[in-house]
Amino acid sequence: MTEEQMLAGSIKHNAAAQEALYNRFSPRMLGVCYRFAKNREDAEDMLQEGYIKVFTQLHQYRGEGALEGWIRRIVVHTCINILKKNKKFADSVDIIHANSIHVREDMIPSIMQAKQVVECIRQLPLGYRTVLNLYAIEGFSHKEIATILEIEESTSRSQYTRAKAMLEDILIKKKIILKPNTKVTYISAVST
Amino acid sequence: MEKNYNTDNFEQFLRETTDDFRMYPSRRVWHSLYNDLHPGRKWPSFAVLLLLITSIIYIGVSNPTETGISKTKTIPSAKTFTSLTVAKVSDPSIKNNSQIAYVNAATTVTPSVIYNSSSLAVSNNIRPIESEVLKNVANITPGSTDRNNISSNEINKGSLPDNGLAYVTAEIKTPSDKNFLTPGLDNNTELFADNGNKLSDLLSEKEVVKKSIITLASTDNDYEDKAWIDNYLLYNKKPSRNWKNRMAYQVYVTPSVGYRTLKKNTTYSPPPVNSILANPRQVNTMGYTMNHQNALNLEAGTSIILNISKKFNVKAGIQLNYTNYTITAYELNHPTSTTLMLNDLNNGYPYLDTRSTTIANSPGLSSKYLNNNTYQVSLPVGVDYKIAGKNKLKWYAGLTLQPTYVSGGNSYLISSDLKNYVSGDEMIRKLNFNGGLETFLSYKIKNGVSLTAGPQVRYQFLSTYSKQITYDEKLYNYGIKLGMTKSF
Repeated sequence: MTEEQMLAGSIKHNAAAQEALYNRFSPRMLGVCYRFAKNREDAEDMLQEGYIKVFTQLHQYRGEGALEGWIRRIVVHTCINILKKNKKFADSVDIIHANSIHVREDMIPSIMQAKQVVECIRQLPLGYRTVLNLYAIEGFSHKEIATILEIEESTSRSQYTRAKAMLEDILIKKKIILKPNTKVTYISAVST
Repeated sequence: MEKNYNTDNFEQFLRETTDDFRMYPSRRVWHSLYNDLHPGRKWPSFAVLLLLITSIIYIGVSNPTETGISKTKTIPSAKTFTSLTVAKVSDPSIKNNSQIAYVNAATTVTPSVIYNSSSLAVSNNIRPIESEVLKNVANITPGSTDRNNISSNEINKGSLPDNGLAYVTAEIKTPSDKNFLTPGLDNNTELFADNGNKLSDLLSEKEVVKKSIITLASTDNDYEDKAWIDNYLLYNKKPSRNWKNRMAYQVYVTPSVGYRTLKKNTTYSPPPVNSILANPRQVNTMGYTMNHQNALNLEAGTSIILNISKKFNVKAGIQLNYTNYTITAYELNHPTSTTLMLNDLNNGYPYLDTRSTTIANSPGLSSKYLNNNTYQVSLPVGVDYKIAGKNKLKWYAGLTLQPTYVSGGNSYLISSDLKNYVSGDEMIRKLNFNGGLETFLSYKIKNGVSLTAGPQVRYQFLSTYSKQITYDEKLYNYGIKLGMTKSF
């Protein structure tokens, strides 16, 4: 089934087309949700919520840009909305964690390379993680993040700076990246 | 392959690395999504559950456990059949080629009675023969079923006791040559009692059979009669016990006292780290560190009860549960940052989840009582065994298994250093499994209504919380179940 057929069928509430569309993008979207979520179960809940919005708003998709990008945008916003509903999220974004969280060697999972970086990101406190996900990976600006998360733009910047430092610390300890002198060398998980 | 970047490429590095990251969702997600998108076509899990319960009830209703024939019925319009009734057909001394049938000469015989006799728990090679003999005695057309592979060409024994039972022993020769077999008895076949008298004479003396007992129908009518009998049997099956007599519904309420057990979550076993909750000894001593008390729990429900035998009932229903226990904690002046030690389900390692809280486990500003409670809906399926009792008063023991859906609740989790409590409602496991053990007295009052009362223990087999929590909490409660049962 082509993307156009999936799109047309899903708009007409055809279950087979909807399932095909779901199957096509859900693995990558679950990966996105997993970076925001606390655990896999929460990530699946986010994915489900996200896809409900995707299917109910699919008729608004104008074909401008890739369908996957459009779906991803909705899924990311859904993740943020779900996190914001949790009262601890607001606390977590504003609390300075630098003094209370210490990265220990044994906390870093020893898993396959492809998943290592994502798992390291997930070691970050919720506030750090969310800002880092939105800025570094999803490409939102600090201004957009401030609007989405209802925080100050400066808070977003400071959270990102700390998140980046902590993540680098984790990645170095895990030997995913090397830091000889001032130059950081990233060993990419991308293989050919 | 390695690629080198400078620090400015940090975002690019992350983006490239994470873009290829994929996870495959469980089918549950699609099923839930499908149900949300197509509310009229719910995924069949609920339907399957209903079907299962219905099937269990149907099997119970359609398989009466009675053995032997205790009752027979009279056919009001039973053609010209003679008046005989099968009272009992079973005798361990029966030989393969010598069949015994008791024929009650005092009541009316019917085809259904005769055919019902074949449902008795006798061996297969006996059953068709006795049916054949009885069929001929009753003047039912031979050859109406596949039982006409039996040739009864010699019946030389019989007696008619004083109690009105005609005791017919038929020795039946079954030649190996199938071509020899003829449907039914030969026209000239005569039954003889032990004393040498003809069975027809004996029966005549009892004035039960007015005319010839053994008069075989002409072969011309075989198929007509067969059709009639088949039709008759189809619409005049021996009725099983009326389901209404065997079913009842019950409403009940169980006030109880509930508490919990705590132990280390061994599902995911993290390596030893400098954390309190990752240390089993610390978990085991949590009970001494925390001040928890039991509290009032409540259950209410209704169930359908099916009596499957004199001793056993099976039951299924729906039950609402409220579980509860209290925690003595203390209010803090300001929010404080604390951590929960959680298991990462993907790799089994623990990690610290930072939380903010105003509740302390050690003395603070003022004491505060917290409630860890859940609201549950369960579907108890179980069995009751009657230990003793007759008529009005009976004593039962019962066991139920209860798949449970936890619809909500409040939960306060102890922090990794045991110094604080943090709210953890989202950690409550949605699906759980409980078991109930009970014993009760049932007292029948009137109009099929019985009152029941007795102690009950309910235990939760799975932890209250998801596997992420590094300790397992199992709830249990002791209560008194009070109920009212009414037959349909």
